[in-house]
Amino acid sequence: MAGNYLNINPLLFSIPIMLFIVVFVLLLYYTYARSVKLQHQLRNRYLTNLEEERKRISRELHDTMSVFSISFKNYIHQHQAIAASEKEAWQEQIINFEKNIQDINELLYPIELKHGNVYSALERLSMLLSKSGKTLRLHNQCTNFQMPPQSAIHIYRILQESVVNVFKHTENKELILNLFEEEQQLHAVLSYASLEKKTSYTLDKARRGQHILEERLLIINGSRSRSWEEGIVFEKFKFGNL
Amino acid sequence: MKIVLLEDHSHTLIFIREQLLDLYPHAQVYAFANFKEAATCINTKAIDLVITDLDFDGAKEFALVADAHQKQIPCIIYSAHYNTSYLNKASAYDYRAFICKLGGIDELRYALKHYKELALYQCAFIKKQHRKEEHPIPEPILNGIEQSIMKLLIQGKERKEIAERMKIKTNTLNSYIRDMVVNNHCTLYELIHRYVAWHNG
Repeated sequence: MAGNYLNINPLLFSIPIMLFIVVFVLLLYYTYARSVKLQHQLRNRYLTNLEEERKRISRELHDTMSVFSISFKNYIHQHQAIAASEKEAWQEQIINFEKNIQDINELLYPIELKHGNVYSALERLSMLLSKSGKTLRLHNQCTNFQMPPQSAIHIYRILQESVVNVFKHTENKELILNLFEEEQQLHAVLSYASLEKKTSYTLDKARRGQHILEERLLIINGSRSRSWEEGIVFEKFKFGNL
Repeated sequence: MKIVLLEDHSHTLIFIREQLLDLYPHAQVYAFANFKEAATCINTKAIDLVITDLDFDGAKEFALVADAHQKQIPCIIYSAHYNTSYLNKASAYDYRAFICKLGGIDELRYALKHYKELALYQCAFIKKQHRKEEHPIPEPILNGIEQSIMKLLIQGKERKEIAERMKIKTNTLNSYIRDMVVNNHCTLYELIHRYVAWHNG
């Protein structure tokens, strides 16, 4: 009996071992794929919640401020003891204050995305930046901005972060942001003067904003690259899965 | 005179009501803090004027403006929002006046007083925010091929790729770019700026 048993081809012994290895590898792959999917979901949920929270704060700020300022303006308007010239000066101060709060609100959450699109929200950002002497010149070659709101906010934030970074880390006071479509994908190119081949993401030392930007790019299946041409840096973004 | 007022903040509601009664002491003002009640009111009563905020009930931002438009009731929008997309959307409903809460009180009073004569009127505050200060930028002088090259340059395409797309040699492309810069007496970056300023959209 023992002799017969030992006569079995040794290769047959390796079959269960091989099967075990295959199952183990499959299990490993399954665990890895699951964790990647989970990470993606977590990332998405985290950033969505972040935007929701910003939206909520922005709304609260907007509501509280507008009620307060209207009451205050009305009080000054009706107050008999305040001289007309003084009233005007007070009103101007309140309006300036309201405008500043409104600008903070816009930076917290771009309300323009609600009824507009990425381009009109960027136009609004350009308007806000112009108040601090920075020019963001937009060039639009897109005809269609139809995309889910969750993608629109990520694209807006990616471009906002990149634009702000350039202004923050370089001497540039003017930037060009070109939006165009190619192969049914939205592309954005940020160009600015630079004597060195440095971009906003290499200049950002802390890279906190860059990490979030990368996460957002992952969520919308986007990518970025750069090139340098006769003293001009081109930061190129390609947004997929719209 | 019957006026419907929709505003979800009690202080603002009281303030607008005060302004209305000051201008129209005999007016009947129906003030509401939610859309449903205001909509019922304009559906059941003969209303002469609607004053509404855009900032309530989330998705129903323009609902009362739309209802007023359908019933041909003059409508004044009193909101803190003054973004282009809001103005564009509101103009589809032929509002009488769009007054921003961030502006002066006189603007609201003006709209309340003259709403019959007004059409798509925007307060001075809104007009000021949307006024573009254009600095004179010289128009770039570019011929047809040069314009095509410029379009690809601002898309961040590299010279090799541009040459391939244009079906020309890289050296020919280089001389085109050199000519563009020389003829316009500026650097390539300045030329791109000028092109973008003149050819947006």
